[in-house]
Amino acid sequence: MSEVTRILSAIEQGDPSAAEQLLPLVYDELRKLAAQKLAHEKPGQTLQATALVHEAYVRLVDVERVQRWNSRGHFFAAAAEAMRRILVEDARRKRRKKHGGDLGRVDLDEALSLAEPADDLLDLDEALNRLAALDPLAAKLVVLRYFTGLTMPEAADALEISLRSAERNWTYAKTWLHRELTDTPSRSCRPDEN
Amino acid sequence: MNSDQDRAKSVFLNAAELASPAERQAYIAAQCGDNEALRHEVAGLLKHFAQANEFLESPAPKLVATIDEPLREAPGTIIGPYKLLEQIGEGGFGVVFMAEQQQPVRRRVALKVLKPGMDTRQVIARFEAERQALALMDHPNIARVLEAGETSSGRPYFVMELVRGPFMTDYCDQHNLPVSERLALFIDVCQAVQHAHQKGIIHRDIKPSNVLVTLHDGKPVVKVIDFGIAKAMGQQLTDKTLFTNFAQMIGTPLYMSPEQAEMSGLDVDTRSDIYSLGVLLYELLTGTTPFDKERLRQAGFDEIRRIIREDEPPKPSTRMSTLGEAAATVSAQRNSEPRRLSQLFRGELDWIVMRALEKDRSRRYVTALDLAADIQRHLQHEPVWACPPTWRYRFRKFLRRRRGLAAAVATVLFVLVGGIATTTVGYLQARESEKQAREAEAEARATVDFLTFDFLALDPQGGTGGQNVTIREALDAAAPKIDQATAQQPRVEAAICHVVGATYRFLGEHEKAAPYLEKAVAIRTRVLGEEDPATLTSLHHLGHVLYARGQLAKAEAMCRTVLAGRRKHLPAGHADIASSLAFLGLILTDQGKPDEAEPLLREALESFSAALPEDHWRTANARSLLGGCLSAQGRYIDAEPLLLTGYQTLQTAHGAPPEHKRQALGRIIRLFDAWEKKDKAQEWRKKLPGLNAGDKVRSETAP
Repeated sequence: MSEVTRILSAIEQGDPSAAEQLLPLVYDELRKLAAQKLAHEKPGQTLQATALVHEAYVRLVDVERVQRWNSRGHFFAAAAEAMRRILVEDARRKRRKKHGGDLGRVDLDEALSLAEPADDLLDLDEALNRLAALDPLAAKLVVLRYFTGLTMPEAADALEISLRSAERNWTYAKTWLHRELTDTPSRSCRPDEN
Repeated sequence: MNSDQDRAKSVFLNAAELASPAERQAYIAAQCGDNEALRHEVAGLLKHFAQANEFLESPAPKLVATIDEPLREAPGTIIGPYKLLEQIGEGGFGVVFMAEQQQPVRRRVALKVLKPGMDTRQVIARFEAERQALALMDHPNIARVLEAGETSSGRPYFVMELVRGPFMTDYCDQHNLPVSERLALFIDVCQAVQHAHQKGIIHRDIKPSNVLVTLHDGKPVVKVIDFGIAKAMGQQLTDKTLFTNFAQMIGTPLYMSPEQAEMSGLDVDTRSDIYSLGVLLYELLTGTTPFDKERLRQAGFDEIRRIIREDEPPKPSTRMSTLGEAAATVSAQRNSEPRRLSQLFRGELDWIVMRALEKDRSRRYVTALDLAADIQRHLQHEPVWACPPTWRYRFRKFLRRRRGLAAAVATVLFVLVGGIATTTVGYLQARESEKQAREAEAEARATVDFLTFDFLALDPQGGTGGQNVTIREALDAAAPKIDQATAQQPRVEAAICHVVGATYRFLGEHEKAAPYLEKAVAIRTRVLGEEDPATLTSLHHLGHVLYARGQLAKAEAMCRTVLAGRRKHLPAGHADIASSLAFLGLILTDQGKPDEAEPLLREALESFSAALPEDHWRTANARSLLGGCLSAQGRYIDAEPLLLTGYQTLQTAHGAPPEHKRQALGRIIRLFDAWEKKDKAQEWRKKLPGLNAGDKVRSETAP
């Protein structure tokens, strides 16, 4: 049984401490998986974040044992958050490089390709944080769908809300974020926070 | 989400669902009314609603992750000014490399990179906060942390003095170091920790993997590493990372102090390190940790915390006897045998370890230096200062369990026991014989044991009905157990007989007291010699008993013997000499020789006055005795103030034996009788018994 499955089972059984363990573990697994996949690809190849999450799900979660959708929902929630962090870290790093943050030292990094400009992702990340302060459910929904690619019904199940509620929150969140990101000047010109 | 925002959200969503613009306008107007702010917000949202149609709909398809560095740093990686050379260790929270620095100085260091998942900025900020203090540390047994930084992938790393070597526990096992050498190394660890504490730095994560051993000129030197790291990592050390990689982190809860396990925000101080040192010591001695590793591993998070906070681990000597087959290996690694080790631990080492492991941190050693000092004393065969605090501590602990006993009883016995032990240990410290000093301690301890477990352990329910039990009953029950308790240790047997006899005497049970005191005298004369202070004390008590039975001649003889012995060995003016003088004076007065008695009693009173506090019962008693003597000489006027003051003070003095109070009263009555002051005599006669030796012991609270 994979560690992830074990933890999900524990969550199902009501172990209060199990939930905390999930995120770091999923984070590790996703990175490992990504590294594995990229090792076999030509340089410059890309991975879809959502595809990665789904593949991780298939590999790590023993669907026989993890019965309730609720705990699978936990997995995806953790995976979404983990994916978000991974991407945001990459984005920060890329931005630092751009601003000369590494002072020309050689790292083991090879070509870093974030297909989307790093700034966009970072702006979105920050806007999500602001939304989360205002309306946590809406923010969670966005993170879940955007980073793992769950459909609306799946997302509703994962968050244990009705489909209609999910759709309304989605609409609101999208609109709100759009306003945040277009009305306010882009932050890409700000000096790197270190 | 505040209610304004809520409202805006709701109005916006409802409006957005309406098909025609006209309907929307109408709806909004109706909902918003005069509320300009609301109307503005909703309008803003609606404006973006149309534009946001495709926004975020394709879930991150163009976002790509290229994990552009391996999950782990590896030899060759460059981090800051350091180049990683080889991996030298791995822990639950990261990996340690040997690294080389070229600029601005050329040196080799140890570099620890932490796993992802931590808030790097916070970690580094906390480290920086302590950096000043860390920089001030300079001790041969401490490997310093030099700096902290962030890798290009955003993970925190620490740069430390390079130390290569095995964990202290492994080193000791590999070299089959005997206990004494392990203790010597451990003392160095304590001193290192002490140094850090003096600089205001608490380690927070002392465990074998943080105490390494290197060799300098072929000699082992301990190095404590990772000072300042645990704090920088903050709470994460205790909750999240604890269980992220369960198997690897299990080390930490084994060494975690109860207050750390509580995680209540109770601030952790230097005594937490003392606890961890205790665990380390436990492991050095027994090869196991106080709490079983397997048991903790299988327990859930909350259960682990409960175990650490509540369960009492077995003493090292006890643990040795439950090791089973492992005992052989453990002993071999200490160049010894299971039974010898068990014996070695029993007593001082047990006590030292358990004190460091106290749940209540106010009971632990206050500083690492205290811990080291006690171990030093053990190694040098000096009395471990454990002794006096031990019985007060155990007595208190015991009393807490047996709240049924009256405080008076406890005090009496405590005073008696205290008297024995200080007499024995105190005198024998004057002698140089270490063997005798240790025997004296053993004796004192065994006596306390007997009293605590056999005597006071009497079930209060077992006595005459309900909660009451008389001291007498307790004694009667316990006395036959002496043989059992002493098992061929004559000194111990003598000590216990003495206490039992002395207690019976205190109660006025002279018949019962006599045989025990006689036995004590006999054994002590044989084993310790006629002039040993302990022998003399028993003889002194026996004398009093014989006096009480009316055997004045014998009593006098004993008293003179005791007096002679004491005069010989004690400095003039010593309280014990005075005690004998007072007694002899009493006997002589009773034999009708007050003239002989007077100088003795005056000397006694002088000595007591000088040596003891003014309201001490002995001084008061001597005063009364002198008064009695003068009274016998017919000097009533001089006698009266002495008798009265003596009696008054005896009434209130702490620890005054009842028989002395009684006798003092008797003397007053006799004075007034002889003086023919019938009224006064009558007045004082009224105060006679109510005061009985068989005072019932009442429970203060029902158990």
